[in-house]
Amino acid sequence: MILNRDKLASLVMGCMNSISLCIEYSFDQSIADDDYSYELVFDETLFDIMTLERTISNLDEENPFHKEVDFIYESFEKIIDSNNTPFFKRLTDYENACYSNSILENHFNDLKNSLENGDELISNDNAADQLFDILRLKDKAGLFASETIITKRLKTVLNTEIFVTYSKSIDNYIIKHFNTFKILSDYIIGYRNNHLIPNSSEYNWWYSFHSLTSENLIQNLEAYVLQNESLAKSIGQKLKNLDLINKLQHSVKDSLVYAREVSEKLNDIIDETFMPDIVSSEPIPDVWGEESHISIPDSEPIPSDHEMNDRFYDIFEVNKQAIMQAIEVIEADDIDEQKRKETVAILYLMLGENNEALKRLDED
Amino acid sequence: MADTFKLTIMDQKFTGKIKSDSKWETFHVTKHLVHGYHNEGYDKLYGIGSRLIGSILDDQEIKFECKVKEGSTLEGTCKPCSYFNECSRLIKDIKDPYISGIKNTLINDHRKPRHASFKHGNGNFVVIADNGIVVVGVINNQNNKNNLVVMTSYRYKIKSELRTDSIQQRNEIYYKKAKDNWQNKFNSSNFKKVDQYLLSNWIS
Repeated sequence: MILNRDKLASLVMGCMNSISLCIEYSFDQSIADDDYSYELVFDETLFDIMTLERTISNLDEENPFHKEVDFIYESFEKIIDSNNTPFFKRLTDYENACYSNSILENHFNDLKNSLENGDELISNDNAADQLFDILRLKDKAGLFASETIITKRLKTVLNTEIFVTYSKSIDNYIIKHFNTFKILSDYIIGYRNNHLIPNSSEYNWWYSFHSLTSENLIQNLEAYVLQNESLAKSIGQKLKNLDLINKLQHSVKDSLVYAREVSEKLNDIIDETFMPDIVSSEPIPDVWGEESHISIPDSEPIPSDHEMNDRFYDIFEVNKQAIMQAIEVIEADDIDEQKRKETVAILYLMLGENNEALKRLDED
Repeated sequence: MADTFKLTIMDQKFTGKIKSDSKWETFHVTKHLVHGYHNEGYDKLYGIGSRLIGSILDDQEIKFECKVKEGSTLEGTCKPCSYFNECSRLIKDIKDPYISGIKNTLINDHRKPRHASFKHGNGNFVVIADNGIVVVGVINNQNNKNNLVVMTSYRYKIKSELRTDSIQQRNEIYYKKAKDNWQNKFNSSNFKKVDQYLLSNWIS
């Protein structure tokens, strides 16, 4: 990792502040039995220090803040030593309450509510904040479950097994809702950059998101061809089953290419749905880590990648909106009449509205 | 009608505008002060009794069939609602602290500036106060107008299965979360032309 001095300084400063807050709370006599503020601050301090540790261990050059970092480690060690068994029992209760599936469910529901809202599609601000809660939990659980000097020390006083389980559980949620995360890719990149997550195999999930920039668009062109082929194959099969294939004068693939050209939104949702076919990493950021090898997928995608699958229907309302918008654009476009109705029919098939597709193909 | 006040941003005089007595006000007070009363910690910050909030919430839900919830927007809830006058009267006694919180955040920022300008969505300016209150607005300084229109104000939620009453007295916890979330946003490509001032106050 190439050093970004300002960002590293900011992490060091953040840790210093957390340590100082932790010490302040540890002496606060007003904290009542049902007050978990100290446990929360301890948990946050641990996270800040582990983020710093992760950054330093991935640096390619000497850490210019080694004195400050040593001070941070020593202070945290002292904080651990100054606490007794009842505190760590309370800390365990706190961790169990925070890293619970019901809280995770709650975060996902809030994220879903924010995304389902029309305005959020424009700015995604509310959704971004919900997303950061989930990312923070994922990042924390992953770090707390890892084997480092700090977690080894912590294991002597705290059962860290909960983080291992939670880490797996949160990953399962994310796989299930992957398309939702893809929509918010830019914010995941924002979190990743802010927390200096290194581009290493251990953190490859964080680097599986990319912005659609002109650079990576070129990288993805080849993948786009594969997506079109896959989708065309799937829709072609549907047309055959409905006995509609003979009504087409243009190839399904040509119509798809045209529809994607006229509708950016449609293009994006196909991209989202057929995610495994896309080059999965953005061009390497100019700060952290070695570039990981980017492979172009095999020319024949695996069957599960080219169906209008769960990922598509997971955010069906959003996708439906995009397809309907594409239909509107295509209907107003100045193209060959036959191509227009075939493309519109294909889009209705994607929506599962087979009768409407048939009606369009039968239009004079 | 807009409630106006004077503020200074980087030695420049601005007129702050809050759309008071409007659906904007009923929406934001309901969303953040009534619904976010506990999670956003406004109860501890302003000391408004839970009974009062509870009775307002009941009236809104039962009498006005209020649709405001997490992730709601003004357009989807208060704008089409026909109970604006009744709702406005209902929140009359609790809206002042919320509005004052916004004004104080903006007016006092010059003491220890922690604001940023950016290009994204509906807003282009954000301030985070030490107590974790976030104010997002739009600055319009074309033709020397120097207006700042407030778009939203909130505190980040603290979610836990444990009782969080005491945690909610801790402003620094809200502040830390607000700062971290906005730093995440500023590091994403969705936010363009980000200018944080003073950077040292964003770090500390």
